Amino acid sequence: MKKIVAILTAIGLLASTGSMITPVLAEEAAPVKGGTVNIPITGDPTTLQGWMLRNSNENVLATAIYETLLRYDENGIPQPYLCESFEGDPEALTYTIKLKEGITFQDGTPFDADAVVWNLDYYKENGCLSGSYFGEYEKSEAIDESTVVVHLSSWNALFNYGLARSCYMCSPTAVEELGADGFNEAPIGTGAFKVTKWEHGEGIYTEKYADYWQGEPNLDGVNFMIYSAVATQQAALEKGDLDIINLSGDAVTAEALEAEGYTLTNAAIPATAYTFCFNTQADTPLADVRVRQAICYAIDADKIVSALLRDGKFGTASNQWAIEGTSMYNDEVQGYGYDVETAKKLLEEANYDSDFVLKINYQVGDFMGQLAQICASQLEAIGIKVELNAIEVANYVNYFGEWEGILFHQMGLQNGQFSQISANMITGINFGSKTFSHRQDTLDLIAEANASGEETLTKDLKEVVRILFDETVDLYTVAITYTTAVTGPSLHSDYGVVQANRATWHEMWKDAE
Amino acid sequence: MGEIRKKKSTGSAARFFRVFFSRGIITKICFGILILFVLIAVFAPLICKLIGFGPYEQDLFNMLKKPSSEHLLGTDDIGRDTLARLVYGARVSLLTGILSSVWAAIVGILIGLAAGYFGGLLNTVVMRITDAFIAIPPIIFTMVLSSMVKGNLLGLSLVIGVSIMPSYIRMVNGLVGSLKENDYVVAAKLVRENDFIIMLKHLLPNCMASMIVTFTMNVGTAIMLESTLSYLGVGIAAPTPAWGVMVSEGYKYLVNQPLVAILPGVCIMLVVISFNICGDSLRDAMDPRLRGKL
Repeated sequence: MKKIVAILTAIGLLASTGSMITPVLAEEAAPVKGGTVNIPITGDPTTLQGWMLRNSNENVLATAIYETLLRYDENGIPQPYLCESFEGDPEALTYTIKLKEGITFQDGTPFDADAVVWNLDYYKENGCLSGSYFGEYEKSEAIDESTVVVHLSSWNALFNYGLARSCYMCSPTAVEELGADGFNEAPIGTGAFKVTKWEHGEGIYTEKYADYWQGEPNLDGVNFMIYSAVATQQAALEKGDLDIINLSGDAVTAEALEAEGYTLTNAAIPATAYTFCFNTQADTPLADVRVRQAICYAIDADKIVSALLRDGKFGTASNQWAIEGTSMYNDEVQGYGYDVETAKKLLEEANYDSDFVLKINYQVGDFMGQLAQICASQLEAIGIKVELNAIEVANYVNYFGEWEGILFHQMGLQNGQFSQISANMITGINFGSKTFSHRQDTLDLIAEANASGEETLTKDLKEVVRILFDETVDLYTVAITYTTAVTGPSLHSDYGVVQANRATWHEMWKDAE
Repeated sequence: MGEIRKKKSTGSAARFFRVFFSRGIITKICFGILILFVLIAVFAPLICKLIGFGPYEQDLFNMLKKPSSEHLLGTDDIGRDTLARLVYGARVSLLTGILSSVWAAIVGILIGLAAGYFGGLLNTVVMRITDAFIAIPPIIFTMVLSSMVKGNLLGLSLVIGVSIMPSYIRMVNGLVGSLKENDYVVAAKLVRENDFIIMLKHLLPNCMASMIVTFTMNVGTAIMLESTLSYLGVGIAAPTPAWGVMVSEGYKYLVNQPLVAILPGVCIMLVVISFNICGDSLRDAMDPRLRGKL
């Protein structure tokens, strides 16, 4: 009997101990306040001014500091973010923006209708993508404290894409007090983290904005530290100096870290389309569409994706700037499957001049370098001599207007195919101004799409995609990559989503050290 | 008489090699390494045929493989055989190194010779320009100029040649400055021998020993410069199998597959050290007066 009592007592003790563990575990699962997260960037941003943020390093940190009126959902469609509603009236050529209440800038000034009007006007004059998205913007007016009406000169159905992409809301008070240069060093947005120090050549330090409108951030700060090479980023992550690294097209490093227990998270929206942009206008064999088609047929994109991107794990093949199954994907695009014989036949038909050397220009980068060399080798298999021209990042922009041969461009896809087509494949902008064919029907369709409602816009832009990729062959997508975030087990958040401009910075937390 | 001359030349050759190898086993090893790399460079196509892979042959499903019986030194990030690329890399490096030094030697020696012999304003102008050239770090100088030649081997060797040319000008100028005071030069002038003949027949041969030593040393310097430029992306352009390019491409796999970057790095190190040590030994053997001075 004593034994039975003793056993029952022991079981009771164990049970009570167990019930004590459960709440402890539950507490551990709850977000921990405090701590700092370090994220790498490959070099100093060119700017921290909200209206100028554009390149890859700037995109890593932009949404921690700044926010946009609209932001992309998981399908790349802009949805209200800092505003309650965003409604267009094509007849009146206006958009009405109803702002959320209770939002303040990091300097304590209110984020109200006046601030939005100031930001939109300022972006029109100074914004890096003003030419692409604000061409029809005339003015905006504050109707009341939380309502803004935007007036357009002609209807632009894609204005929302521009607002979601890079029109970050900056504190007007801070810009006016500090001037543009001063603001560059001490930027003020509505984001969860406020810049405390920009140590040029070292990194950017931030602290949490306690009055953040979605609640006080869990972390004390997020620092963006300069680690230029992936190898050093990997070493720093393993050592604990970094909490996250972002990879694109680097399956080797990602898989090595995955094997060590790190978590890989792909961004909800694909990151980059590695695209051949053909110079169709110069007096070279590329002016003949059959030569461009032959080049497309010669590239074994499936093999490249299979080998380098592990069959869809880190990227995918596509015949356009969207992924199959997504809303912007056009099923009617045929594309050019790998077919060496057809490629050779087309070159023959076009009386291809074998003395011609095809120049492929690309911005230096690890994955891009690999791709360029593979493509060059595949093109040489059909008798095309290739000269590779690796361009430094700072010099790359000089190639946007005109290039020789092919510009192997990394087209950002975070704002969707439609936005990129309508912003880049038009006349009157620098990109491809002297190289793309700019066929009249594509220009008309883009113009009609911009001036129409959602249904016509989708139909028209899908048709433009078909023409550009299938008929005129201005563009050919070799591969599409995802941004893969590698995080350690102590970090808790969906960081992959953050990279797709869908910031949840304030929810991020890490285990107490 | 002929036998005596033959004996004399055999004796001087033996003395040359005795002094050349007098620095011990290191010189012998370095000399052996250089011979080996020259042979590798010359017979690169044959070696690649033997190993069964070319330097440009890609196998995308065998990327970054570790050394195996199939790929003796593994593969790189697009499945190319590392050994095949190293073998062809020897060609690129040695060719660039030797070509650069040849350009530099030809032009540098002529300029130094003329400036030293004629002296006066010409000498002052040439030497001040040379001083200005020397003041510019060679890597900066070549980086700027190499952007104009766009990864072309011949163009790059010219650019590197220009950057190492001042060493020849200075050396020859100094030597000619003292040699031209010798009696045989004065005598040649007195019999109104042509200046051009005096420079080429009497002065140049007397500078040869030092020039050969400088040449050997400069080959190593040129290889180092080419590799650095290629590593930085402004030298030999991919996909050409240059060692600097290979280090640059393999660097990102330093943690996961270090051999891809380390092997070409080791090759660069071996060749450059070997050229420098052989250069030192050559100096000892050719001009004992300069032993330990250069």
